Amino acid sequence: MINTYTSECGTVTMTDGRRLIINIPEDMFTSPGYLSSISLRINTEALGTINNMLNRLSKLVNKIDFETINNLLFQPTVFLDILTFLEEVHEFMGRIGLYMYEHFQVEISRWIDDEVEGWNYLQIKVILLGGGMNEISRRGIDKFMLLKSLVSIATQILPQQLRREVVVLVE
Amino acid sequence: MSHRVFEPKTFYDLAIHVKNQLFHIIPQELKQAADRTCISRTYYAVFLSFRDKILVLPFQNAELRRRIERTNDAHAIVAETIRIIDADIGDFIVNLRKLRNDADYKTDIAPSPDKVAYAFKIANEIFSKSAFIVSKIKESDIISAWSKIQRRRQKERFYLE
Repeated sequence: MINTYTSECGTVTMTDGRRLIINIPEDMFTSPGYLSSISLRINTEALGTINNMLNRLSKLVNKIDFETINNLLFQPTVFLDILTFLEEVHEFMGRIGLYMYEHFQVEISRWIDDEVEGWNYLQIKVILLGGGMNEISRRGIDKFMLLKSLVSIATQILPQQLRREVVVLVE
Repeated sequence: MSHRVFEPKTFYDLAIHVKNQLFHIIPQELKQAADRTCISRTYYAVFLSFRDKILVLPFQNAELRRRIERTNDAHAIVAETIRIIDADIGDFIVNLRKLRNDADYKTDIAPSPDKVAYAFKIANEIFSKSAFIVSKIKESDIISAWSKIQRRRQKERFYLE
């Protein structure tokens, strides 16, 4: 369903994809005396939700590319799906005795391969630290088994369309 | 594609042979280069195997075929097509490419000893599923992969301008 509110100042549309679009006519800025300022009021509950998402993210990821996060904020549904996946990653890692900072790091960023134009993925990278390597070896697990598990979790948790855009790396 | 005279998987077989049979006789100062080469060849074994199998599929788009056969775009097209069929295998290829990029270009950090074994395991898993994956690929998947890559490029150019 698409909801549109129209006034002489422009239109506000909430699209099917739950994207809010505010259209302001071009002449609004040039017509003399027509518009003195724009103020955008955001419901504090919405800000609270964004704040909550960023707080959740900061507990799940310790290497952040801010441009990537900025882009994710424009796609809140995608952001929430990524958070759910990251929480599942931590739960899985906890089950095999691995904890962030002590055994591994988590990075979220874009991987653009300069050698291949169009190689551009949102990457979630789990970087095993020395302690993490020792811990998994002690449990008879290797890096590839870890990668296989995390990749499989991503496929189970993320919607199919998003899954194709997100790559999971273990280093 | 013209008649094939080389089986790309033998790059992987060679890498395993070097690591398991010859590594102990390689002079110490060449061991890191050998490790890097093993990782790099493993990626190319996987990439070229898929590329060649895609090229023997009956598809009509001659321009796309030329791109896969002759240009660097093949890396992105192959990876993206595989992702459409099986995201898990797609991620394995992406991980292998990351290992290869580091092995070929990152000269400031020595690859850790487990990297070669890691690359081998990833490749082994991919090869074990490759026949099944290739049997699922249709021309529409390759076209869809190429469209997605082009959209990404447009987006990248938009941000650069």
